[in-house]
Amino acid sequence: MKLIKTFALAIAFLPHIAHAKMIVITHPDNKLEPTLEQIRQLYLGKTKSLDGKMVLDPIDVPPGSPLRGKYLEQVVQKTQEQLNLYWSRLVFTGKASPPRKLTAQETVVDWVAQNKGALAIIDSQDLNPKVNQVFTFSD
Amino acid sequence: MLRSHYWQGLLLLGQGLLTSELASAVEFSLTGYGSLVAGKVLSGDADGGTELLKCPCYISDWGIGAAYTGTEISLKQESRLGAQLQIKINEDWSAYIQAVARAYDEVIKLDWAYLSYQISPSLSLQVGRKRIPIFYYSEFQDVGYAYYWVRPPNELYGWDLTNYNGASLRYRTSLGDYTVSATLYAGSSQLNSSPYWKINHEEPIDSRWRDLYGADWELSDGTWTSRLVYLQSMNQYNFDGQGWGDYDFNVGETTKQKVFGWANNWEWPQFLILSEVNATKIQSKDIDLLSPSFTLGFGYRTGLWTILPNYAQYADFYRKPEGEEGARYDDRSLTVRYEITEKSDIKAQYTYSDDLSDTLYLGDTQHFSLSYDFIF
Repeated sequence: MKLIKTFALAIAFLPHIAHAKMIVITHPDNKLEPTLEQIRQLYLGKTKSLDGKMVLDPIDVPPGSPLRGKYLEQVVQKTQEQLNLYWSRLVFTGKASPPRKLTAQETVVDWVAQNKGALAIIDSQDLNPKVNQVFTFSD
Repeated sequence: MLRSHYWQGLLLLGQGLLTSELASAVEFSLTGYGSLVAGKVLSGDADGGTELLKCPCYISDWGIGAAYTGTEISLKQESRLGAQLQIKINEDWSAYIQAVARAYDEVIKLDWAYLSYQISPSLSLQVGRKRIPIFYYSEFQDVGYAYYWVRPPNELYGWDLTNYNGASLRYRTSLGDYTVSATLYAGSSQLNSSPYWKINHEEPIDSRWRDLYGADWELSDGTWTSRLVYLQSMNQYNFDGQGWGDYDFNVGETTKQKVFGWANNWEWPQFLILSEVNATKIQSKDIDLLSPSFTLGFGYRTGLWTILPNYAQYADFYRKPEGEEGARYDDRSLTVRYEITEKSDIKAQYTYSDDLSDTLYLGDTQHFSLSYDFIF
């Protein structure tokens, strides 16, 4: 009986888990509406701004994140090896820098809430009123 | 070589920025790269070479005069380690320093040292010492991990001067699915006792490129990248301290140099097409020389493996002196690359260098090299 109850509870929560999506967040003062291509170009260092005025600071999706695979597939469209090769041609020539890596003490949402140009990719479950959701990735 | 007042100016500027109120926001980033390369001449013509370069031989890096000679395995010619310190002073200002240590000359050199100012999100100004962006791989030629061969084809990537002191202006923007960038740069370059000339001359020869101006324009959609380049300079050479002169060492004379290049690369998940065609024109009192070169490679990628057969050729065509015979050679290479980790690879490359010159220069050579490349 206990097993059936546990199973039923799990089934009840499944829709909630299944609907958690990968989203893009920005500082609350940022009224951006980026396209997927624009997000890709920001994360590949091909552009620093979407309006020609504000310099944007994309935050990396860390290697240990559950979103890393989806980030590589949908955002940068490269394997990790291809991405490292791509950046090695830019970093050592001063042409661009990879997305910012936060320290273990810094949380993504807090960083974005405190830095006007910051832009990050998070799980929708981590969204809170301190930041704006500006893009939702498809499953 | 950097003039002392130039260094002083940069240091003062950097010091001023670092002691400003924004100093507390300074961010430091240390990155680097390295290659451990073992190579060996398998066989070749013993008739080629010079009094200073005994063949069979294979020149792996003209810029540092590195050549494999004899048939022993050597790690000295191409092994290197580079480290870059990026100092992000604030949102607009950054400073970069990149030092490279090479096994060949056992010296740590400051190859890059410049300040970068972001004028606008699309426009940046860089002042200081940088690598001359002559051809597609020129700026990151030392970063072995960044390309698929053990070394970019020597037919194109062999220069006596590789770094310049000056300024560059870079514009970058997006047009739909395409990114466009354009760079203008100006400056000068000088190297005393150039290793490039030591391949053929026992006497020390200093090289300098003055009135160096260049531009490049790049268009990319992520898979295809096309890059056009142009460079011009007034070159002089000082043969054994006799005074600055032209390519033939006529003191007081100057050599005019113009370089054109066009690279087109396609990097699909499974296939690669790497191509580049270039031409260098040298004109001085007694010389009118056109040196075209090209490289073409077709690669196949499967999993962590890349296989890349490549063909490259270089030729000299003299209009003056009339009837002068020029060098001509080609390389056929096969490279296999395997990505050991996300930041390192190993490569094995077989190269057959065919000396097609009317008068034998270095002769034919078969060469094999293994490299371990990494970034950190």
